[in-house]
Amino acid sequence: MSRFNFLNWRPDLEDTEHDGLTVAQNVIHDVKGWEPAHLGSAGSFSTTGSLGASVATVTSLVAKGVGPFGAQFCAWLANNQINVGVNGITSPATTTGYPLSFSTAGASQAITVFDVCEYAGKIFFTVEATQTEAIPSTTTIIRHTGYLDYD
Amino acid sequence: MTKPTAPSDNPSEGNSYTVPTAPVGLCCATVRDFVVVGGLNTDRFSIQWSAIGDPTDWPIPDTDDARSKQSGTQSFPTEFGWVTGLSGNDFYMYIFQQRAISKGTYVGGDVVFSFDIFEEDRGCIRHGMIHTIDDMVVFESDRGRHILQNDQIMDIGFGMTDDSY
Repeated sequence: MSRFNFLNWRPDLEDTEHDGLTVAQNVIHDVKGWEPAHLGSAGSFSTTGSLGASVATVTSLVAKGVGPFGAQFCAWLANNQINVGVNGITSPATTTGYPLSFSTAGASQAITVFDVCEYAGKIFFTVEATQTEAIPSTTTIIRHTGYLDYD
Repeated sequence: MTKPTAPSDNPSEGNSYTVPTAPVGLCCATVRDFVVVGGLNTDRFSIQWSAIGDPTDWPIPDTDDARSKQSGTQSFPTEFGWVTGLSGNDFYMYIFQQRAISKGTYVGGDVVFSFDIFEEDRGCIRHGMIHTIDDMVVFESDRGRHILQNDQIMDIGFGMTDDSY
């Protein structure tokens, strides 16, 4: 652990951005003091498996932790569709409307609402995606509520 | 003595089901034996909860079927804005509007939940700006950041933190 030398207290100065401060970068507070923060590196979406979409077509992605072992429930927009799944894996589409699609392809799409809760072995979710076009000025919203069973 | 069986692996994939009558909303939470959806797309000032013990069953509100399954809805005063967040446990739930917080306590019977507004200024300014950690709820209002615990609100961002944003 790095050691900081505390200098004289200077109460006449502002709380921030003055030469009496020591600036620490890339650190995170821990109960024992300050620990180095390990910065992540950029990853990439897999183009194989159930996701099956290139990086360029995934326009929005949100995730929340579920289960006791760090799994991530995700919702993402790819190929103009809302997809949901755990750890990026989707289940096969059903005939009841999942996944949902924007009826026409648009340039500005994003997931705007997303929440998840768990009960009785099911992951219940609500998701909403919005597509905004400038010319003509239109806003399209698609919404989906459903659940996934735990394996 | 044999070792206990380890818990199952992470949920990897499963069947996805569209729930035809479940509402879509800005937030959802598990409260006791119910799944609750808030900020409904049909009425952003309301919540709706499922049949007791069955998150796949969403009877039409105010019907005999709904009453028999303790499923129902609740609207909140529109002056406090949309319902933007929910936090629940085995006994009660907190309903966050943009400028108010209500507590819903399970009472059962035909009433199911009893609601009381206990904060009429600080609320959750936008969906997604709320997180539950154990018995604490961290949220952001139009005045800053707060923690709600045991019906008490602490202004954790007062001063420099709130002034910085």
